[in-house]
Amino acid sequence: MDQTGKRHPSSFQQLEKLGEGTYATVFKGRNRQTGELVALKEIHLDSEEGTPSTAIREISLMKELKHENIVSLHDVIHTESKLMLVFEFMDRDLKKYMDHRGDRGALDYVTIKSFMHQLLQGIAFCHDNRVLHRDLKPQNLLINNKGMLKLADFGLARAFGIPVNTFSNEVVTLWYRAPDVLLGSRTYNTSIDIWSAGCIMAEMYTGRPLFPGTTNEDQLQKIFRLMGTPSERSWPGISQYPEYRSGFHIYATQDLRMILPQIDPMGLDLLSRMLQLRPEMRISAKDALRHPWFADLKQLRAGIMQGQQQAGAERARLEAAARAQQQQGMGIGGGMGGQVY
Amino acid sequence: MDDTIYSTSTQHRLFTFTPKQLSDLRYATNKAAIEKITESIKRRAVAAGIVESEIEEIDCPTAEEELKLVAYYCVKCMQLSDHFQFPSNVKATALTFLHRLYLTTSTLTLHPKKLLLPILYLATKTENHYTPIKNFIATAATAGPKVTKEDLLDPEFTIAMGLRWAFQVWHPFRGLEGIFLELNAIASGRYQPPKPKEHLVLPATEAKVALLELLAGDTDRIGRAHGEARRLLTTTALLTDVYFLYTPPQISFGAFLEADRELATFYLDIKFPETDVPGRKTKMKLLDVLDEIAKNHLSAGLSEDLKNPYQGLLLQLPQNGITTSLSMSVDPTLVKEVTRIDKKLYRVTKRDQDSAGKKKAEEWNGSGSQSGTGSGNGIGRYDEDEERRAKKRRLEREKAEREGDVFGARLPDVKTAGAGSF
Repeated sequence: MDQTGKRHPSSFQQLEKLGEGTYATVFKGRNRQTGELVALKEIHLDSEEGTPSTAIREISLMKELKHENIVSLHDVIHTESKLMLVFEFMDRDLKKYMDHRGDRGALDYVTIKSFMHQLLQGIAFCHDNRVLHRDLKPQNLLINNKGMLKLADFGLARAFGIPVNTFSNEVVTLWYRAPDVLLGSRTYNTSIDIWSAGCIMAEMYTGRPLFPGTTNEDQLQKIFRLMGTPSERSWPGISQYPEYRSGFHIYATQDLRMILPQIDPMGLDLLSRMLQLRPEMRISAKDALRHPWFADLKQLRAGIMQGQQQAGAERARLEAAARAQQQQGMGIGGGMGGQVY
Repeated sequence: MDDTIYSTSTQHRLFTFTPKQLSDLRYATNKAAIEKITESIKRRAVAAGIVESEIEEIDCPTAEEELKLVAYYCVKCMQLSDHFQFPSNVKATALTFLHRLYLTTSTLTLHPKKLLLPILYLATKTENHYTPIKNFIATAATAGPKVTKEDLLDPEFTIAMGLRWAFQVWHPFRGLEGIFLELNAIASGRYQPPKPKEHLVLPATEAKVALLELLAGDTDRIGRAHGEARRLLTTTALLTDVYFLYTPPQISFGAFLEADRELATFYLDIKFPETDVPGRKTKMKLLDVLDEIAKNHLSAGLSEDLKNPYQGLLLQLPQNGITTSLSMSVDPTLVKEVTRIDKKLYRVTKRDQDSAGKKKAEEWNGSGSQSGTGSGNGIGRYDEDEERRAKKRRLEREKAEREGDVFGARLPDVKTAGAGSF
């Protein structure tokens, strides 16, 4: 047998508490032998059902999903009554990063693009592995000092149903939940993660959640207020959803630029492809990664390295280039492309 | 299936072997467990003042015997799962867990009988088939085994460690659905070949004509082949080594080939047309592998009397006296053999718990029951103990007859299956 399970929790020095999850408490920890920092996720064992199935699912998935944009599981250790998952340490989550580094929460253009690219890479890898994350939100995206973003907290991934309340009465946030799920769909697929990614992208621009709903109904209303209330005509079959009401307040579609004045046209095009009400219209993670908005990412990242002054000029040049490129590349843009200009 | 993804999976990294590696691993596990238990028994005997040369022979199950025993309990696990009416994925995951666990764990260390229900329960969690523990215990009781919550939960970490915390299993019956969706698409003229090979492949209309010609009006044939391949994958395949030796798509195709050779070959000809030279080579190689799976592992015609294609290797094959089907598991000769192994295992593990490491074979004289455990108080009280044990055995036997056999009593043949030992 390999080392797994043989190591004892005492091999790690437990440092401050990082957070309280739905079925676990996360601590910062230090490997006493190597000094390496880790995140220790202590699973609350259920006296009734033993190891919670959420923990089994999370371990199961994390053992398979090895990718640079997914937080890596180093080890599983246990005593008779304790189960601990040892993850690589990340400095902070995206929520705290925005509070800390952003301008009133809003991030700069290059950071947004870099984070979105990494987020979509992580999602694409999950989807390739037939895994839905299902609970993407800034708190579940971890950032390290190298500017890397990784998906974490796979406790809800592919579990059945999405609970609104967990055992600890902590409310699972609705803010990033796709409209089809809110409408009661049970046949949702990978597109629900794309909706969440779209909400997160908008939030990085503004520093505020895009749809901060309080209840299922309020969440839908906030979405419709911006995206327009769908009808059988715009979304055939919508009236068949369990939570569909014929009395939904009718809103007209707003221009996303109203709330995101700072977004560039190509970014807006990508965003509107992710925030499609109809799940089948939403762009896939793979296609999103091929979107022209990311074409200059490499150069932008290199630009940061060259120092700020140079980078400023470079960026202006690149953005101009990108705009020119976008006009050519709009062919793949289809419907939305026309509206952008 | 994307091969790059499979190649990073735990199934591929931790649980895929060549036949030789698999066999070596089983021998090594058996050897290590024998050494450990022998040493432990000797140590106790010496501590109790027995001279080492006078320690009675320590008779442990061989690797071959251990595998027979595990295979038999795999069948029991399958029957239990069916009793619960669990879906195929739960059943298949539980069976895979059992096979994987006993690659590196010896039955001398952990008896499979105690693990069947805990493993099934763990499989329901892994596969998201939520079953409240109370219901689980209640359903188990209707099959015979009385279990407590502790019985189910206590071994959880031990099992998980034995599995190296790798719970995800890729089951070939998922890929099978894809094959048959495509076949049906061909039959209705909707087949779309993958992009780069478009120009090489028969146009959809011609493929349809060719398939209909093959079916010759027997429109149910595709459905029958599907059903039979699925049956193979959810029964026999789970009692063999195919998960350890082949990739899931290979196993799916192997089952398809075994189910309907002509139809499977037609499908491969569509996928790898003659005009595609590198494709043709791939097809020939693939067919060799698929044939191996079909003929050596899944075929219903396999029996102990056939020539063993893996001479000298310890694999789960009928040629090695291993149960690979439900019907085989009720064969009286096999049941007798497994009961014998189980007793041997019982004696040696019991002896390891005895303070002086003494052999207590007399308990088994003329007895078919595992329940006469005795208290190990020594020879002086033998007669009295023996009488008490005989009574206890009789009572337990009667109880077992009243309630039905512990595992799988609902199967019609179980009564002949040596009720005494399980």
